[in-house]
Amino acid sequence: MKKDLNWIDLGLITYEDAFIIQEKIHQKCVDGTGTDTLLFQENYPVITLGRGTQEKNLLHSAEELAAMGITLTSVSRGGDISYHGNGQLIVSPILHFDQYVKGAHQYVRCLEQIVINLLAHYHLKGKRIKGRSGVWIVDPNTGEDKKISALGIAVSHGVTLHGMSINVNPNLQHFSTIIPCGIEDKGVTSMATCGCPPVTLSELRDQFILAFDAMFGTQTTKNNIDEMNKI
Amino acid sequence: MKYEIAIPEFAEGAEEINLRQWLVAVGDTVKKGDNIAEAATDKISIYIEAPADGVISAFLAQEDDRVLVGQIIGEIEG
Repeated sequence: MKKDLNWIDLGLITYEDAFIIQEKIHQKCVDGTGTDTLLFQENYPVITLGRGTQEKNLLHSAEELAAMGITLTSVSRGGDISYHGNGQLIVSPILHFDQYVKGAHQYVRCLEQIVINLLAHYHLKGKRIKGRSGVWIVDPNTGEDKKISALGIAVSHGVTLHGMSINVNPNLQHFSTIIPCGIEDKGVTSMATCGCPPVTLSELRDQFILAFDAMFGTQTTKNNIDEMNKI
Repeated sequence: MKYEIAIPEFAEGAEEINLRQWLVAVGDTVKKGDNIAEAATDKISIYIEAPADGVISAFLAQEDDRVLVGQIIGEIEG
Protein backbone atom coordinates (compact mmCIF):
# COMPACT_ATOMS: atom_id res chain seq x y z
CA MET A 1 0.00 0.00 0.00
CA LYS A 2 1.32 3.43 -0.90
CA LYS A 3 2.11 5.92 1.83
CA ASP A 4 -0.20 8.94 1.75
CA LEU A 5 1.09 12.49 1.75
CA ASN A 6 -0.63 15.85 1.49
CA TRP A 7 0.37 18.76 -0.64
CA ILE A 8 -0.44 22.38 0.05
CA ASP A 9 0.28 25.30 -2.26
CA LEU A 10 0.53 28.64 -0.44
CA GLY A 11 0.82 30.54 -3.72
CA LEU A 12 2.53 33.94 -3.63
CA ILE A 13 3.29 34.72 0.01
CA THR A 14 5.88 36.50 2.13
CA TYR A 15 8.79 34.41 3.38
CA GLU A 16 7.85 35.20 6.98
CA ASP A 17 4.19 34.15 6.68
CA ALA A 18 5.14 30.96 4.87
CA PHE A 19 7.71 30.09 7.50
CA ILE A 20 5.11 30.36 10.27
CA ILE A 21 2.86 27.94 8.36
CA GLN A 22 5.77 25.60 7.70
CA GLU A 23 6.59 25.48 11.41
CA LYS A 24 2.94 24.73 12.27
CA ILE A 25 2.81 21.83 9.83
CA HIS A 26 6.16 20.61 11.13
CA GLN A 27 4.92 20.67 14.71
CA LYS A 28 1.82 18.67 13.75
CA CYS A 29 4.02 16.08 12.07
CA VAL A 30 6.30 15.91 15.09
CA ASP A 31 3.47 15.44 17.58
CA GLY A 32 1.69 12.95 15.32
CA THR A 33 -1.45 14.99 14.60
CA GLY A 34 -0.50 15.93 11.05
CA THR A 35 0.30 14.15 7.81
CA ASP A 36 3.62 14.38 5.99
CA THR A 37 3.26 17.26 3.56
CA LEU A 38 4.79 18.78 0.46
CA LEU A 39 4.52 22.53 0.96
CA PHE A 40 4.79 24.71 -2.15
CA GLN A 41 5.17 28.46 -2.27
CA GLU A 42 6.40 31.42 -4.27
CA ASN A 43 7.86 34.32 -2.30
CA TYR A 44 7.83 38.04 -2.85
CA PRO A 45 11.42 39.14 -3.51
CA VAL A 46 13.38 38.69 -0.30
CA ILE A 47 16.97 38.22 0.80
CA THR A 48 17.26 36.01 3.84
CA LEU A 49 20.22 36.43 6.14
CA GLY A 50 21.18 33.32 8.04
CA ARG A 51 23.10 33.54 11.29
CA GLY A 52 26.27 32.74 9.42
CA THR A 53 25.86 35.52 6.87
CA GLN A 54 29.06 37.32 5.98
CA GLU A 55 28.57 41.01 5.34
CA LYS A 56 30.62 40.94 2.14
CA ASN A 57 28.05 38.62 0.51
CA LEU A 58 25.38 41.32 0.57
CA LEU A 59 26.32 43.67 -2.23
CA HIS A 60 23.71 46.43 -1.78
CA SER A 61 22.31 48.53 1.03
CA ALA A 62 18.80 47.96 2.36
CA GLU A 63 17.74 51.21 0.69
CA GLU A 64 19.06 50.12 -2.70
CA LEU A 65 17.34 46.77 -2.33
CA ALA A 66 14.07 48.43 -1.36
CA ALA A 67 14.26 50.49 -4.56
CA MET A 68 14.42 47.17 -6.44
CA GLY A 69 11.43 45.82 -4.51
CA ILE A 70 13.52 43.42 -2.43
CA THR A 71 13.14 43.15 1.32
CA LEU A 72 15.76 41.95 3.77
CA THR A 73 14.99 39.59 6.60
CA SER A 74 17.09 37.89 9.23
CA VAL A 75 16.23 34.25 9.81
CA SER A 76 16.97 31.92 12.69
CA ARG A 77 18.59 29.26 10.54
CA GLY A 78 22.34 28.94 10.27
CA GLY A 79 24.12 29.34 6.97
CA ASP A 80 24.73 32.26 4.69
CA ILE A 81 22.64 34.50 2.48
CA SER A 82 19.99 33.49 -0.05
CA TYR A 83 17.45 35.09 -2.37
CA HIS A 84 13.87 34.07 -3.09
CA GLY A 85 11.44 35.78 -5.42
CA ASN A 86 8.77 35.62 -8.06
CA GLY A 87 9.20 32.95 -10.71
CA GLN A 88 10.84 30.55 -8.30
CA LEU A 89 9.01 27.45 -7.05
CA ILE A 90 9.91 26.63 -3.46
CA VAL A 91 9.20 23.11 -2.26
CA SER A 92 9.45 22.16 1.38
CA PRO A 93 8.85 18.48 2.08
CA ILE A 94 7.88 18.24 5.74
CA LEU A 95 8.14 14.57 6.51
CA HIS A 96 9.57 11.74 8.58
CA PHE A 97 12.38 11.19 6.10
CA ASP A 98 13.56 7.93 7.66
CA GLN A 99 10.25 6.33 6.63
CA TYR A 100 11.18 6.91 2.99
CA VAL A 101 14.93 6.37 2.78
CA LYS A 102 17.84 5.25 4.88
CA GLY A 103 19.59 8.36 6.10
CA ALA A 104 19.46 12.08 5.48
CA HIS A 105 22.18 12.00 2.85
CA GLN A 106 20.23 9.58 0.71
CA TYR A 107 17.13 11.70 1.20
CA VAL A 108 18.99 14.74 -0.16
CA ARG A 109 20.29 12.73 -3.12
CA CYS A 110 16.71 11.63 -3.87
CA LEU A 111 15.51 15.24 -3.79
CA GLU A 112 18.28 16.24 -6.18
CA GLN A 113 17.38 13.35 -8.45
CA ILE A 114 13.72 14.39 -8.43
CA VAL A 115 14.73 17.84 -9.65
CA ILE A 116 17.03 16.32 -12.30
CA ASN A 117 14.15 14.08 -13.46
CA LEU A 118 11.80 17.05 -13.42
CA LEU A 119 14.16 19.10 -15.57
CA ALA A 120 14.51 16.16 -17.96
CA HIS A 121 10.73 16.26 -18.42
CA TYR A 122 11.31 19.74 -19.87
CA HIS A 123 14.30 18.54 -21.92
CA LEU A 124 16.83 20.21 -19.63
CA LYS A 125 19.90 18.33 -18.43
CA GLY A 126 20.42 18.96 -14.75
CA LYS A 127 23.39 17.52 -12.87
CA ARG A 128 25.17 17.45 -9.54
CA ILE A 129 28.57 19.02 -8.95
CA LYS A 130 30.74 17.31 -6.38
CA GLY A 131 31.12 19.42 -3.29
CA ARG A 132 28.32 21.80 -4.24
CA SER A 133 24.75 21.51 -3.06
CA GLY A 134 21.74 21.79 -5.36
CA VAL A 135 21.22 21.00 -9.03
CA TRP A 136 23.30 22.57 -11.77
CA ILE A 137 23.05 22.94 -15.51
CA VAL A 138 25.24 24.13 -18.34
CA ASP A 139 23.85 27.51 -19.29
CA PRO A 140 23.59 27.36 -23.11
CA ASN A 141 24.16 31.10 -23.31
CA THR A 142 27.57 31.03 -21.63
CA GLY A 143 28.62 27.37 -21.58
CA GLU A 144 29.19 27.68 -17.81
CA ASP A 145 27.83 25.54 -15.01
CA LYS A 146 25.15 27.47 -13.17
CA LYS A 147 22.84 26.63 -10.31
CA ILE A 148 19.21 26.13 -11.31
CA SER A 149 17.95 24.66 -8.04
CA ALA A 150 19.19 25.43 -4.54
CA LEU A 151 18.78 22.85 -1.83
CA GLY A 152 19.03 22.84 1.91
CA ILE A 153 17.15 20.80 4.45
CA ALA A 154 16.90 20.85 8.20
CA VAL A 155 15.90 17.99 10.48
CA SER A 156 14.21 18.64 13.79
CA HIS A 157 12.79 15.83 15.92
CA GLY A 158 13.18 13.48 12.96
CA VAL A 159 10.99 15.60 10.65
CA THR A 160 12.40 17.65 7.78
CA LEU A 161 12.00 21.36 7.11
CA HIS A 162 12.96 23.55 4.15
CA GLY A 163 13.86 21.86 0.87
CA MET A 164 14.62 23.32 -2.51
CA SER A 165 13.90 26.19 -4.84
CA ILE A 166 13.66 25.76 -8.59
CA ASN A 167 14.35 28.78 -10.77
CA VAL A 168 11.61 28.82 -13.39
CA ASN A 169 11.75 32.38 -14.67
CA PRO A 170 12.88 34.65 -11.81
CA ASN A 171 14.47 38.04 -12.29
CA LEU A 172 18.08 36.86 -12.38
CA GLN A 173 19.34 40.40 -11.80
CA HIS A 174 18.01 40.08 -8.28
CA PHE A 175 20.53 37.31 -7.60
CA SER A 176 23.35 39.68 -8.46
CA THR A 177 22.56 41.68 -5.33
CA ILE A 178 24.15 38.91 -3.27
CA ILE A 179 26.81 36.25 -3.46
CA PRO A 180 24.41 33.30 -3.03
CA CYS A 181 25.50 31.05 -0.17
CA GLY A 182 28.89 32.77 -0.35
CA ILE A 183 29.82 30.90 -3.55
CA GLU A 184 31.62 33.46 -5.68
CA ASP A 185 32.74 31.53 -8.74
CA LYS A 186 29.43 30.08 -9.97
CA GLY A 187 26.35 31.83 -11.27
CA VAL A 188 22.62 31.23 -11.14
CA THR A 189 20.31 30.49 -14.04
CA SER A 190 16.72 29.53 -14.74
CA MET A 191 14.66 27.14 -16.82
CA ALA A 192 13.55 30.04 -19.05
CA THR A 193 17.12 31.23 -19.62
CA CYS A 194 18.10 27.69 -20.58
CA GLY A 195 15.52 27.63 -23.34
CA CYS A 196 12.56 25.99 -21.63
CA PRO A 197 9.21 27.14 -23.04
CA PRO A 198 7.04 29.03 -20.52
CA VAL A 199 5.98 26.86 -17.57
CA THR A 200 3.63 27.99 -14.84
CA LEU A 201 4.58 27.30 -11.24
CA SER A 202 1.39 25.28 -10.75
CA GLU A 203 2.26 23.10 -13.76
CA LEU A 204 5.76 22.57 -12.39
CA ARG A 205 4.27 21.81 -8.97
CA ASP A 206 2.09 19.08 -10.46
CA GLN A 207 5.05 17.58 -12.31
CA PHE A 208 7.12 17.74 -9.12
CA ILE A 209 4.45 15.77 -7.26
CA LEU A 210 4.47 13.11 -9.98
CA ALA A 211 8.27 12.91 -9.84
CA PHE A 212 8.20 12.77 -6.03
CA ASP A 213 5.63 9.97 -5.95
CA ALA A 214 7.59 8.05 -8.58
CA MET A 215 10.78 8.34 -6.51
CA PHE A 216 9.35 7.38 -3.14
CA GLY A 217 6.36 5.22 -4.13
CA THR A 218 4.00 7.59 -2.35
CA GLN A 219 0.53 8.91 -3.13
CA THR A 220 0.30 12.66 -2.64
CA THR A 221 -3.09 14.34 -2.57
CA LYS A 222 -4.21 17.92 -2.17
CA ASN A 223 -4.95 19.46 1.20
CA ASN A 224 -5.47 23.08 2.07
CA ILE A 225 -4.61 25.26 5.00
CA ASP A 226 -8.22 25.46 6.25
CA GLU A 227 -8.48 21.68 6.36
CA MET A 228 -5.10 21.45 8.04
CA ASN A 229 -6.13 23.90 10.73
CA LYS A 230 -9.13 21.72 11.57
CA ILE A 231 -6.88 18.78 12.43
CA MET B 1 24.40 13.51 37.18
CA LYS B 2 26.27 14.67 34.10
CA TYR B 3 24.90 14.02 30.61
CA GLU B 4 26.94 14.46 27.45
CA ILE B 5 25.65 16.27 24.37
CA ALA B 6 27.01 14.53 21.29
CA ILE B 7 26.87 15.11 17.53
CA PRO B 8 24.49 12.44 16.19
CA GLU B 9 25.01 10.39 13.04
CA PHE B 10 22.84 12.31 10.59
CA ALA B 11 24.66 12.62 7.30
CA GLU B 12 26.30 9.35 6.42
CA GLY B 13 29.88 9.79 5.29
CA ALA B 14 29.88 13.54 5.86
CA GLU B 15 33.43 14.79 6.26
CA GLU B 16 32.68 18.36 7.20
CA ILE B 17 30.20 19.06 9.96
CA ASN B 18 29.95 22.57 11.29
CA LEU B 19 28.50 23.50 14.68
CA ARG B 20 26.38 26.33 13.34
CA GLN B 21 24.81 27.64 16.48
CA TRP B 22 23.98 27.05 20.09
CA LEU B 23 20.29 27.71 20.75
CA VAL B 24 20.85 27.87 24.51
CA ALA B 25 23.39 29.42 26.86
CA VAL B 26 25.38 27.89 29.69
CA GLY B 27 23.14 28.02 32.75
CA ASP B 28 19.89 27.56 30.80
CA THR B 29 17.44 24.95 32.02
CA VAL B 30 16.37 22.47 29.34
CA LYS B 31 14.05 19.53 29.02
CA LYS B 32 14.87 16.25 27.32
CA GLY B 33 14.11 16.61 23.62
CA ASP B 34 14.49 20.40 23.46
CA ASN B 35 16.44 21.65 20.46
CA ILE B 36 19.68 23.03 21.92
CA ALA B 37 22.09 23.33 18.98
CA GLU B 38 22.25 23.21 15.19
CA ALA B 39 24.95 21.33 13.29
CA ALA B 40 25.20 21.17 9.52
CA THR B 41 26.91 19.84 6.46
CA ASP B 42 26.66 21.82 3.23
CA LYS B 43 23.19 20.39 2.54
CA ILE B 44 21.71 19.20 5.80
CA SER B 45 21.30 20.86 9.12
CA ILE B 46 20.09 19.02 12.16
CA TYR B 47 18.79 20.29 15.44
CA ILE B 48 20.46 18.51 18.32
CA GLU B 49 18.18 17.60 21.19
CA ALA B 50 18.89 17.71 24.90
CA PRO B 51 19.57 14.13 26.05
CA ALA B 52 18.08 14.78 29.50
CA ASP B 53 16.34 17.32 31.73
CA GLY B 54 18.82 19.63 33.45
CA VAL B 55 20.97 22.73 33.22
CA ILE B 56 23.50 23.38 30.46
CA SER B 57 26.76 23.23 32.41
CA ALA B 58 29.43 23.50 29.73
CA PHE B 59 30.05 24.08 26.03
CA LEU B 60 32.92 21.92 24.79
CA ALA B 61 32.68 23.23 21.22
CA GLN B 62 31.98 26.71 19.94
CA GLU B 63 29.86 28.02 17.07
CA ASP B 64 31.57 27.54 13.68
CA ASP B 65 33.82 24.79 15.04
CA ARG B 66 34.31 21.79 12.76
CA VAL B 67 33.02 18.76 14.66
CA LEU B 68 32.79 15.01 14.17
CA VAL B 69 29.99 12.50 14.55
CA GLY B 70 29.99 11.33 18.16
CA GLN B 71 32.01 14.31 19.39
CA ILE B 72 30.91 15.61 22.79
CA ILE B 73 30.07 19.29 22.35
CA GLY B 74 28.54 20.09 25.72
CA GLU B 75 27.27 18.85 29.04
CA ILE B 76 24.06 18.94 30.99
CA GLU B 77 23.92 18.66 34.76
CA GLY B 78 20.71 16.82 35.51
